[in-house]
Amino acid sequence: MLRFYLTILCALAIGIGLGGASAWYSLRQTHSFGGINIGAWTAWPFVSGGNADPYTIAKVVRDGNIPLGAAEGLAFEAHADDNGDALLFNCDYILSGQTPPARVWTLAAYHENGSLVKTSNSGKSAVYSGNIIRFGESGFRVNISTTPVAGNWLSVNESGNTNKTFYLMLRLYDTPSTSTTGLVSRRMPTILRGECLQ
Amino acid sequence: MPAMMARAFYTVFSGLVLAGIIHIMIIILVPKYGTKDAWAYLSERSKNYEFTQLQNDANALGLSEIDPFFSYGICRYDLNDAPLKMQGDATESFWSASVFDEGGKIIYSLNDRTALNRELSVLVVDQIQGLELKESNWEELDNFILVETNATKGYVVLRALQPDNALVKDSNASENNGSEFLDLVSCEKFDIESVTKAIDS
Repeated sequence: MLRFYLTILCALAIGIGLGGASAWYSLRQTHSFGGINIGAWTAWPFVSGGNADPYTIAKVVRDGNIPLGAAEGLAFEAHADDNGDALLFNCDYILSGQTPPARVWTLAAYHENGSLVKTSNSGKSAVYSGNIIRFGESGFRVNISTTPVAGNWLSVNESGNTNKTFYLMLRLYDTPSTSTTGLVSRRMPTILRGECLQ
Repeated sequence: MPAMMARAFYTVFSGLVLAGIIHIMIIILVPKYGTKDAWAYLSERSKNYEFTQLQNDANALGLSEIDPFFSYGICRYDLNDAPLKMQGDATESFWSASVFDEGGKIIYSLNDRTALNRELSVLVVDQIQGLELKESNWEELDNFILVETNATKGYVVLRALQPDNALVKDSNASENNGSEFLDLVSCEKFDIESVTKAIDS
């Protein structure tokens, strides 16, 4: 009899443990379940469709954000640099390259809980296509740094948070990337780590 | 010994089946019971047929991943009461809107370029109201984007590009200078009978 209960207990433990863990894992922000990947970036273009899958819907609710409709734009998330290392507050990053065509785009840094990074210095934790310095062929470079830098500077200076991670969101507004033909352009800016503070 | 093996196999197998069921249940139940749900947050802070601008203070805002260059406004509807009429002035700067159902699914989305004359003029109706409207030959119907939905309740979220936002200019500032575009947006019940009755008589 004891063996019978033990069997049930084991089955229950496996079920609840694995089921819960796999559900939690598939809804984690860093996981790209149901999304598309370009380099370090992940987007969920199917969130806007009437036939959005349950994973995408659950992720939207879990994140507590307002998803972008197809005509509005497409949002890309990056939780790691191009080498796959998590983005840290105490490191400098260089984001460079091109974005898929869009009328307006914005780039902002967020805490892992989804709130915008508030900087303790004069810098801003966000840039947008209208206030950015470009070089030819619409390429651009953004320096993500704790200390002021020349050019396009996205400040992630957060006192007392140096070992924590953040993530970036690049939103393309009014972009043909969300059209039914799928992602037209697969070029996204690269994120490379610079120096880190010890 | 084989009996033991069979029992172990049986245990693991039942465990895996159970894991699958629990996994699916969690995924499906998260939207229903999610506490960070944007819809739950917005419902508390807005009334039906009343356009509400969301304060763009990142801390006070319960929503995640707010774009600091945008101002947001929301308009809730309940089609059992009346169709929704939403209007705003033409503007040079970018804005976009999505019509959501209660569950947070996007029914329709538009931006200033896909809108008629770059003006925000949207009617949200259910299928019966949509039929009535189309049969009414109401002349002004052509000036509206007609969104038909099976969902009776939901909300429209409007975002307007606001690069001079206080939040971006000064990271410590909490006040929002608002959006001129959002200030002039109207969200009201549409009196469908005034249109359909006129044709009958």
